[in-house]
Amino acid sequence: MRIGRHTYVIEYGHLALITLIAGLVFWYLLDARSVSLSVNNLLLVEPVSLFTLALYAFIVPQCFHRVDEAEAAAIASDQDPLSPTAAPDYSDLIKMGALSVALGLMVFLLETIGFDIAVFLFSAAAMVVCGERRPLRVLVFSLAVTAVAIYGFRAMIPYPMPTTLL
Amino acid sequence: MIDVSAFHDALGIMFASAGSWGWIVPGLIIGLIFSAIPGISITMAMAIVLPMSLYMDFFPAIVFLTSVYTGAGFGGSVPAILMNIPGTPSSFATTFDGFAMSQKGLHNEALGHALFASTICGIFGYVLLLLLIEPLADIVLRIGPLEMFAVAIWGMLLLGSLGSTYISRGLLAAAFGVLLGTVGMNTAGFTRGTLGIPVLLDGISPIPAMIGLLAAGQLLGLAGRDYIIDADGAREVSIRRILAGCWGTLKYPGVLLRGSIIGVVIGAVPGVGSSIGNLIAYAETKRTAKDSATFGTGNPKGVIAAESAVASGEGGSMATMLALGIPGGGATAILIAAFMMHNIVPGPGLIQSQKPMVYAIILNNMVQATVLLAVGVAFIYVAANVVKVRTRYVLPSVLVVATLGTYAVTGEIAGPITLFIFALLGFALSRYEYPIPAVVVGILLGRMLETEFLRSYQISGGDPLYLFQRPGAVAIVGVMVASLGMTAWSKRKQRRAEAAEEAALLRQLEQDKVPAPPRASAIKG
Amino acid sequence: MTDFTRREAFRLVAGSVGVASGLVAMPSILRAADYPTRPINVIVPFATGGYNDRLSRAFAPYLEKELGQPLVIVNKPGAGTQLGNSYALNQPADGYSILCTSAAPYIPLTVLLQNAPYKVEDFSMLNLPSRDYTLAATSSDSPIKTFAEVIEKLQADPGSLSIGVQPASADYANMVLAFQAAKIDPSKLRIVTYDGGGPARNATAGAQVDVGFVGGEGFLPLVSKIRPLAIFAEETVDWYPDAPLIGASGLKVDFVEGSQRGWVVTTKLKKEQPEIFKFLSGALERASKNPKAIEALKLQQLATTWYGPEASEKAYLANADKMAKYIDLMK
Repeated sequence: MRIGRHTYVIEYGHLALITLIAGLVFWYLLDARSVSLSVNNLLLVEPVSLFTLALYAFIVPQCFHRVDEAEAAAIASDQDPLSPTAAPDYSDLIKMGALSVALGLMVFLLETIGFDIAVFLFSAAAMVVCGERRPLRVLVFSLAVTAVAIYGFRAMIPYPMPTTLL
Repeated sequence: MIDVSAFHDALGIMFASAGSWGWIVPGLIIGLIFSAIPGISITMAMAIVLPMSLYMDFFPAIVFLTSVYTGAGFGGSVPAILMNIPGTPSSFATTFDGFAMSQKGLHNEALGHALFASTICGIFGYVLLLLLIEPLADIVLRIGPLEMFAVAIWGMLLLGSLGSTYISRGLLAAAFGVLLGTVGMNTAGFTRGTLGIPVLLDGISPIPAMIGLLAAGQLLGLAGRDYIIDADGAREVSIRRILAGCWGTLKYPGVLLRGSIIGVVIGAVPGVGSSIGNLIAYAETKRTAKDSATFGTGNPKGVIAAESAVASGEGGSMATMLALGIPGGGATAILIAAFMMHNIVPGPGLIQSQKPMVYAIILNNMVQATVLLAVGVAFIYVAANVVKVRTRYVLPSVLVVATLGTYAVTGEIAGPITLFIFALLGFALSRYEYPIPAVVVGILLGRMLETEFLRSYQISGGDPLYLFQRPGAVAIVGVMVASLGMTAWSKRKQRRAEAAEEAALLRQLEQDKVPAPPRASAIKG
Repeated sequence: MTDFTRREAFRLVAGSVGVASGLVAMPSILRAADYPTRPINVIVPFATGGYNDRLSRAFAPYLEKELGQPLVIVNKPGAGTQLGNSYALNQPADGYSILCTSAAPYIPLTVLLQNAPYKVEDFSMLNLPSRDYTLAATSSDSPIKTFAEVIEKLQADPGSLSIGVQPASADYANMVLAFQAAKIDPSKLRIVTYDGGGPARNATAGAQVDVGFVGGEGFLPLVSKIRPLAIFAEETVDWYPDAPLIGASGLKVDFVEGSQRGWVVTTKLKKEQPEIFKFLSGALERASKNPKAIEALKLQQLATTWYGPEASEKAYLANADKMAKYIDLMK
């Protein structure tokens, strides 16, 4: 990231994020307008959408800025836990990424492989990601988490939970 | 205001069925546990214990169910403080300062503050209810869409107090959140943005979205740490410090009072629930506080303000239920069912015909709130031990519970999927300094904003002068504007005073011929 | 007249998110003598706390006694019962899943307005004990005393009164039908929309709106706060005899009946396992006629009336036909 003072850089990720948001909002506005042009439908949605798109136009230039400014902003936001920033440490980022992938896999596999197996696999994977390397502990703890979670939730919620083994 | 002979009879009922007091502790524990698990709602807890109460007498049954309700009012703040996961939308504002406190190693104190604020304001809410139940019921029915719209706007003002580096990004985050909150079928029957997916007809489920957004910001980030709290010495769990936190709550009577009043009034409005009272109480407390800059970084007043509104809101919604027979939410609907099972129909007739019973129920709720103090300290003590467990055990279990909890919201796999999508979104947003709470507030309030705005428009036929036919709305807007104006005024005075003080200090320093500290004060300001 | 076309394209989308209609044929050869051997699921397509949830939980102990197996209440709320209905159709037709739901108006409404991937005829009624009717009401301190006054005022100026109603509901259709019969242009009315009966009732009782059109049963706790103007029923309603019938207002008007709530199974079960269907309806009949059950449910203002499968089915289909006839009024 350190290119030198007074160098302008482009935050591609930021640009992509706000373009995605603006795209979604634009699509939402079109979708709403395609349903009906009645005030009962668009009273809030249309002005807020247009406001969002205007903000997009205003924020886009912020994606092109000087490096030292970015540093100053990063320091300021670190002091404010209400707008948390990602941990700067590279290995931490990898751990977060791995954990997110594991979470995503669990979520999408819950119903296909059963809640019990998905929970067990996720728990084991998450433990490994967080630094547990002893296989016995991973196995025993994940089994315990699975059993407690499945039986506990089954007792507490009035919905069916498809499981494979439990 | 209060009927003395009925009050006397109420005490009679209370002591005649002293055996029913035995149901308080189990009820509180059930409520605490259910509500501490994200996604599991009070309604679910009560629906499940309802059949048990079938075989009890009326008073014990009601004591049991209301104890579950009371316990559940506090449980949600425990995961909010320790792990930044609000169990319900109503403990969202608790996370702002609660989690920040626990990150500093002040988790004992934060939990103590939350518990004490919750019980004191719970009791205060019930006292108000005892005095005002009849007039309150009438006022509640008179609250129309315009008043509700004003309240929703007030909730949105919270955004102003969420310090963000870029105002534009905060606004974008909030506007995007509001739009996300309006997805699905609106109150006039128009369906937008569902992509033909049936689950989305009801909109984006706010609890999974909220947990996802917050989890991305903090929870996943814990993967790189060994413990939830970084500092080695800080991972202490101490009854003494919890109690000190409880006691310390009493230092802020103003915060407690303001939070309670906001909570009771908003809690009494059917259908709003407590998800907005805590936001308004937090924003108002922060705005009027002298040390408002430290809010969000672990200021105890933030925790106290949020919790006081949640707890007193229970009294409010209980009032609506007893006096009008209108359930404020699912939990009070179950209570109504329990009443009817024993041939007692809540509603305007109940207060006339069964006043002693109504008083007895309210008094018993106060007893429960008091008992909650003791049960709560024990619960906190057990729960707080989570800070001593290594993240490699905590994180997998918490994520599993959160995922299943989002499934538990509606019993649809859509819940966990929402959680995941919003976790990714939250990660990206926080990476580029978009305030996550702004998105959450937008999602929580978007639907209410649209619904109430639309109804106001429909009732008035589009005539803006309608505002002046609604004294209630004018009053709410007036209080809001006055509060904003007074804050701006006092902040300005404060800044001037500070500047004068600084100048005086600098003069003093120059006179003493000590070199002035190099612009340290300027950076701080 | 009615067109219940299955929307194939929609089904593909719905199927991809796991709520495809239940055509997963499970050739289960069951002898009625063996049934039931395990707990039976009662699918309630609403969240905990609503009428059907309370009905199922309160009635369960008595029905369990007749069935000889425990009942498990399964809440599947969302999308105006569409999620729960699709879920029910997805279960094997073996008698281990029954529905407790507001069959009318929700099954026809999801089909007609949400393109739900099933047909009205995919469900068969066991018994629909609870019948609700649209009630036109006003706050008890309102100057309006009769429905005729409402008509008179609106004929003079359609914008003079605000009207609270839930869009896309039987109540909405009844409101439009009544005003059309009185030669009032519905598009000129000041209509305030509510996304549920509860909020519409509160708005009526609190005089937020001048007149509310909403299911009458839910008004019972608030009865002292409202004045009934007209109830959209053929004959006096036993749970609200004070409410004047719409026929008495002098208007000649057709109307759609309100909610019909109760016990429902899939038509697949009825056709493939007639023995089980008969067994279920027998058990329901005995439980519904159990004096203890009647007494216990009455205390919670829950209905136990036994109409039986034929009469219930007839009422349900008649309601669905009327809905289809007037669907354009609801949009």
